[in-house]
Amino acid sequence: MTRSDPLPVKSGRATTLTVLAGALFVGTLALVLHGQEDRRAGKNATSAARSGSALEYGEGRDKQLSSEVQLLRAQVAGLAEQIHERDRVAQAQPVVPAAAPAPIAPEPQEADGDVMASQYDREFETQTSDESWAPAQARSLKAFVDEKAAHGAVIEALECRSNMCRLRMNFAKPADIRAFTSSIASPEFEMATFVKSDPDTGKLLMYSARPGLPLPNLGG
Amino acid sequence: MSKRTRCALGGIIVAGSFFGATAASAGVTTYPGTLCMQLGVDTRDMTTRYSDSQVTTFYGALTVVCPIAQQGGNVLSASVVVKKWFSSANVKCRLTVRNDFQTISASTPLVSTTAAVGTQTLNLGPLPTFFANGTKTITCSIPASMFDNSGELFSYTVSEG
Repeated sequence: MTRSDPLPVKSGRATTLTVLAGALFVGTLALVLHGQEDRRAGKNATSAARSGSALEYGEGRDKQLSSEVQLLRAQVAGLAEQIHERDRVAQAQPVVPAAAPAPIAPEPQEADGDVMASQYDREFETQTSDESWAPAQARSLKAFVDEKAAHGAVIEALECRSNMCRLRMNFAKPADIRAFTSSIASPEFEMATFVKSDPDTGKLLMYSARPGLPLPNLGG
Repeated sequence: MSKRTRCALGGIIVAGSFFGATAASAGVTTYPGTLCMQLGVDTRDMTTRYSDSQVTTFYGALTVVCPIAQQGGNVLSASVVVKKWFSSANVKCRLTVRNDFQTISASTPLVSTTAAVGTQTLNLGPLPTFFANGTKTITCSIPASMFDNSGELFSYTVSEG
């Protein structure tokens, strides 16, 4: 071949065509492939759209739970702070012991006649006679007994001291004792009294106080 | 609450008042004077006088016994509200407690009204003697008078504890 022979035009065109075809093929292939991707992406987009609420729900639920967790954490922190503050204040203040429960008032004890009689007797024995009052009071008592006590009743002892009088009597019948004790408890008798009687033996013991005064307090 | 129930409750309340303790507070009970029972009329004081065509009749003195419901405690205080119409006609009262066999008794001093006419309160005082199954009573004397009554007993109040 000589330099004067030009390249064959047909060969250059073939190369170009080949290149163009290749490019076209590649482009087409690219388009096809891209379309597949688009289709796939489209599918994904559809399913995402369908489960988009689920996804959103999931995301929303996560956000809600997260918010709740954050809220709980904040509350726990607040409680911890309150406890800490309370402890701090308690440490700063002196501890005041709880007040002891009020003592329960004891139930009233039923009076024991024998015990009371013994106590009044002890009280009476400690007293000395008030001569300005005791003799006159004893006479007044005797007059009352003579008027009110039934026939046959006997005065064994009658004595007044500083603010008490003691009377011991014997009665023939139990009914006579009851009648006499009733008269002592009536408005006819002025003094405060303690009376112990025994219908079986007919014996009566009476302590009376000075007019207007109660009998001495026996205490505990 | 039905009408029937209201009527029943009202009846119970009225009956309770009649039998009578209207408790003002725990341990304190006020009784109407109508619960007091007359022991008898003492006719020894009855006098009839004819003078200048004037006839004066004195009624006998009365003794009344007022029951106290047993509440299971010592009598911390007791009082009686009375009314007297004449300065010389004094009402006198005292409190007595007895055991159930009536073999042991204790009484407060006798307390009398003053000369003042009108309503008075007699304070009978405490009585630290307690019998679980015994009785508590207030006994009062209403004096003689030329009229139907010379004194009235309105109510009596007892505090137990």
